[in-house]
Amino acid sequence: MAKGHVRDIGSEIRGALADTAMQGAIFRAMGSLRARRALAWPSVERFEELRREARAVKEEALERAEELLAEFSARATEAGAVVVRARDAKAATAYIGDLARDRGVRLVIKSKSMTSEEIHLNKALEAGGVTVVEGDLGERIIQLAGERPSHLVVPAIHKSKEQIIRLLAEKMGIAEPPADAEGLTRLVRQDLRQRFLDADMGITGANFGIAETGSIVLIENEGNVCLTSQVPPVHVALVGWEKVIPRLADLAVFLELLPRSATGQRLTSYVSLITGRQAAPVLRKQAGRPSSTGPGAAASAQPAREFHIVILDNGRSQAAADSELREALYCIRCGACLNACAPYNLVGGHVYGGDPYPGGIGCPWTYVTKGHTEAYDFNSLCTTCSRCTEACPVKIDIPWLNTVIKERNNREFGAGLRQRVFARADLMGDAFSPIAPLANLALRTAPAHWSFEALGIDPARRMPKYEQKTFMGWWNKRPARSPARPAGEEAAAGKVAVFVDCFMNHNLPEVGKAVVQVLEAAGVEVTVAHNSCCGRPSLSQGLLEAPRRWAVDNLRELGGLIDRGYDIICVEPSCLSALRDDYRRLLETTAHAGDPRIQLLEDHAYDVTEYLVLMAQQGRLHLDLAPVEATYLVHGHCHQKSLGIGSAPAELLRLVPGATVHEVEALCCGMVGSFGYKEEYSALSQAIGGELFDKLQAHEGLVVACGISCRSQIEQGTGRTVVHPCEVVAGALRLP
Amino acid sequence: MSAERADRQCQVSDSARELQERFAAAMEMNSGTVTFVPEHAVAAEVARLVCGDGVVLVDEALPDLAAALRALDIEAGEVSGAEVTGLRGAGSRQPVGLEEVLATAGAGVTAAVVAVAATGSVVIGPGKGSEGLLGTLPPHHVVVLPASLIEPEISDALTRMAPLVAGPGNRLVFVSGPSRTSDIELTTVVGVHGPLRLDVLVVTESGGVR
Repeated sequence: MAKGHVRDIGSEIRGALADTAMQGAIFRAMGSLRARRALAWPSVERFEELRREARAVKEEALERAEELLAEFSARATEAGAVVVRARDAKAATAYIGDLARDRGVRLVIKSKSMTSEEIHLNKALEAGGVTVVEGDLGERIIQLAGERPSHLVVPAIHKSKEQIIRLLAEKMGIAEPPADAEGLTRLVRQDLRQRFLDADMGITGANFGIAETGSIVLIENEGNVCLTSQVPPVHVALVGWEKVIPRLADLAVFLELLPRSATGQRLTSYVSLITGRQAAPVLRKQAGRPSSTGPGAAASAQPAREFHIVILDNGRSQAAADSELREALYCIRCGACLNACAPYNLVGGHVYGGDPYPGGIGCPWTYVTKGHTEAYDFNSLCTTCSRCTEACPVKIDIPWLNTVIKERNNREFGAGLRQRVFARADLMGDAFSPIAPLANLALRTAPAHWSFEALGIDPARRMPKYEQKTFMGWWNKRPARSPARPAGEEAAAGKVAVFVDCFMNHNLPEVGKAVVQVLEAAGVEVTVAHNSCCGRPSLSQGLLEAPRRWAVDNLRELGGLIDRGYDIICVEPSCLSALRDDYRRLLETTAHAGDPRIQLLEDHAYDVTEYLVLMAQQGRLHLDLAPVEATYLVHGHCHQKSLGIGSAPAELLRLVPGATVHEVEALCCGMVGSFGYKEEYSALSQAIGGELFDKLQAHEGLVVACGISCRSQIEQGTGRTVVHPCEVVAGALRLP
Repeated sequence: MSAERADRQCQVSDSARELQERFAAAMEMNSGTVTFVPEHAVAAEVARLVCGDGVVLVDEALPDLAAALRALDIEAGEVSGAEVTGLRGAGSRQPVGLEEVLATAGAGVTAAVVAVAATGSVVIGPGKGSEGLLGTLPPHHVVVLPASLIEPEISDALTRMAPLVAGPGNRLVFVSGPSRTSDIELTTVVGVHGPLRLDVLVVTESGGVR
């Protein structure tokens, strides 16, 4: 195994892809969670407003973490809680274990808590002879199965109902188990009810702590948290160091966001705010007194309840001081990122995840709480498509966190040759275009395939074809343009500089030509930018040094163009995403942090379809288009969706008279840059694409997609021809 | 009364009515039921709802309700701390330990301190007694909510309940429907460890809007 690896992720993926029961269970459930969430918001604007507010609270909370923890501890202590700080997992399990021993605890009932999974609390308590029973239905199922949760909210979602029926029948010794979810739920209710009443200690996590009041907040649906926290005489709450928010009023925004993001509910069945030790007396049976001592007799002698709050650091305070990782701590564990994540939808949280944190957000969390090695193995399952960030209620840039971790891994163990090759789309283009006919042939020969295999590239994948006549070659040879309008007539409809991306230039020059043609037909003055590579191919390999240089070059070049009145037009949405989303992060640790041209570029860089649709919305787009009689099946690019312009390609096509436009909804095409070419991810990439392929094959029509990797994936997966929306529009132009 | 003042009062009650309607619709989406009753009809309505449940435990924050239910032939006891008074038990009406009846009680009746129209939630607490358990252990939970306590949004409710949050030992619970789960193949099942059924009585001066 390569340096820095402890897991064979390729073989784990193959195993997961072969487990059709698990795949079906996860894929269906994730689709359903996404649909529920989509219906939960009154409007997109409201969601944006709430998540801006929530993020601001989390930023403040982490900025003031120690101060807030001190305030929280003081208030909770005044209210009768015992508050302790645990530096790491060992300190936390030791404290709770000692407490259990001192109080003679035999049975612990526990509610769902990822933090307790993180420190393997059950194992530690069981080693001390204590029985721990999970109260949450999903957690109980995986406890009986001897597994760890695969999802932040629905921990047993990787199991089909049939598997759960067999498991419960076997573990509970039932000959004829119920056959539906309702019957199974009732069975577990009955089985656990007495244990809630008999437990000597209840352990919960906490969703939030409130500094102002010293309260903890617990959010749940099943009622098990209500029971766990108030029936047993001793309640222990294990609270992550990052969970304390300043004020009671700050809770509102999170109560609006968390349930909606998690399950699409407006609020879960129960949200408990607990301040200090419970006033209600211990039930006499639990106080070890037989009730025959007589009514009322024991009331005054009953022991007081106990409430212990264990604040767990375990790497969190260090992460808070690390400007690149800090935002991972904003996570409120709603799971919306997992539901939106294509690789997670196919392989689930056991493969795509650490112990216990699943998915893309699980990688930084594993890095923070367990260290580098455990995190790195599943790091590359993040394709950096950004669909998670779009869904995240605190707008955590999960792809960026994964990029940072990849970079650190590269620094520690060195980047592989394959990473270095994929990082340089620009150099490959420069090398292969001049000798394109030969290069394209050579890339399909056996020796090329052998070297692909040696590099870890799936030899069955076809590399995109290179063109000898590049876009720039065409542009430079173009006869000089006369001004778009003769002097004296109205000014140009706009001025744009086309960002010349590596793929458009070397692989798809015809797309670039169509873009120029359409823009000029719309009366827009067009020039080209003399830009460097946007940096994304390299970013996605965790190689950030070169992109930092290119970003600075591009800020100079593109900033200069913007100063001269040009807007920047991108053809490849992934390049736009680099300019608009990544440069700020890429440069934040450099002398260029805060360069005003970053904001300028974010404001003035457009996807070409977005730009044309905006012109149309402003009534400024006048194209003379001949009617067509055609159907277009539009596949939306993940980066367009994450930039909030997912519908622009379809809207542009709808401007063509006679066009029938279908937007084909699918998670992702699965290729995502170089992801699908890598030997260990190729099968997963094709499995992700399966949903899209099936939907496309069910319809007649011309397939339209904007990204080069979407194009290759669809062409290889369906054999259909794929075009860029501007090629369609250019084809319909009535030329003078 | 001036015409203007009458108008204003009318607007106030219109918006209160709208709030009650929003609350009811949201609570019903949460699988809870909502009934509007005038003050004097509360006991009769609770009796109707809990009829057939067996032992009914009433939180001490609802004075006289247990006695009124007993008068309507419901086996009801009043809960204070860990004790229940008023149950017939073995023929006497002496206090008994809550633990003796919790496992068999058919319904718990609690009082709300605030409610949220937008989410269909009632807040119970602040937990000096055992209302938390009354709303969790029996299979049927009935909440009595004075209409004037309904707030439009979560943030309004938090503001209103703020004085109740900070006290030592206080526990406030937003209840938005009966207990539920989606842990098996995301199929929603109502009734897990908490109640299988939640009914809310909105107490209005006039008997309300429905």
